[in-house]
Amino acid sequence: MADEFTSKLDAYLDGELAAADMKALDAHVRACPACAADVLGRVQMKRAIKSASQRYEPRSEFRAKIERRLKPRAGFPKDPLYFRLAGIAKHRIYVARWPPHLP
Amino acid sequence: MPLFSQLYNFAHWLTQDRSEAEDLVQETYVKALRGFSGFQQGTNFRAWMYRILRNTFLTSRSGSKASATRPLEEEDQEQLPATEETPESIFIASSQKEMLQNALAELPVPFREILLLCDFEEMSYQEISDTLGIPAGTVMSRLSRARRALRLTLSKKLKV
Ligand SMILES: [Zn+2]
Repeated sequence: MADEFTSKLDAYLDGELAAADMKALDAHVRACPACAADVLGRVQMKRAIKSASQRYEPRSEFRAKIERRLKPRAGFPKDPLYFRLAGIAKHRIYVARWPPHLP
Repeated sequence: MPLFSQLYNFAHWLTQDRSEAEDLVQETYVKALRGFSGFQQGTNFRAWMYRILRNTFLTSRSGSKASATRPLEEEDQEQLPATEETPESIFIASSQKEMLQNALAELPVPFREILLLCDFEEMSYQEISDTLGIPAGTVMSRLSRARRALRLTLSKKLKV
């Protein structure tokens, strides 16, 4: 059965309650079988959504196209966004080529 | 490129179409580069990128269609009936990945996007609020309505 805690269960599981509320909810869930079952269902649903929503992979051609577009051009070679956007890409290429081929 | 795969996944969920998703991601990066001077250091970079992507989607043809044909959640406050399915049967449905993916795809965009931001991106309510441009209190109520709508969609699928 729903009680005054039910409406807070999502925020509780999302870690969005203030510390005092979090503690109160913890204690309540341990003592209330209805909320405990509810929490279990919600946790499973959250996990299921997380796994189901990883669904679409970009095509590698598309990734390459965007990387080309983000290459520094004359004008903004030191654009900080470029470095933020491209930093990991460079790192990935480096890692992908590791270990370096020795002559 | 940080965020590239996630942004693409999110774009494809919004558009439900590969080439539209690619256009959307490309436009997002172009706008981000162009507008980077407007980005304030210390604010949330991820929320900023998602916000550009989402605003671009909303002004696109399919995006404006998607948001125009769906009632905004604040307006249909009590239109979602309570589900009669037991938590167990909902769980069985959600463990069937494809059924859950179809249910997510059927949700109105405002519900679909907020679930992705919360449960896939694991954004805080504050980040979601920054991304969607809605108050934190609305994040909470929209999330609970989105989860209810998802359970309802799943329980309908179980009856078929
Ligand atoms: Zn309880």
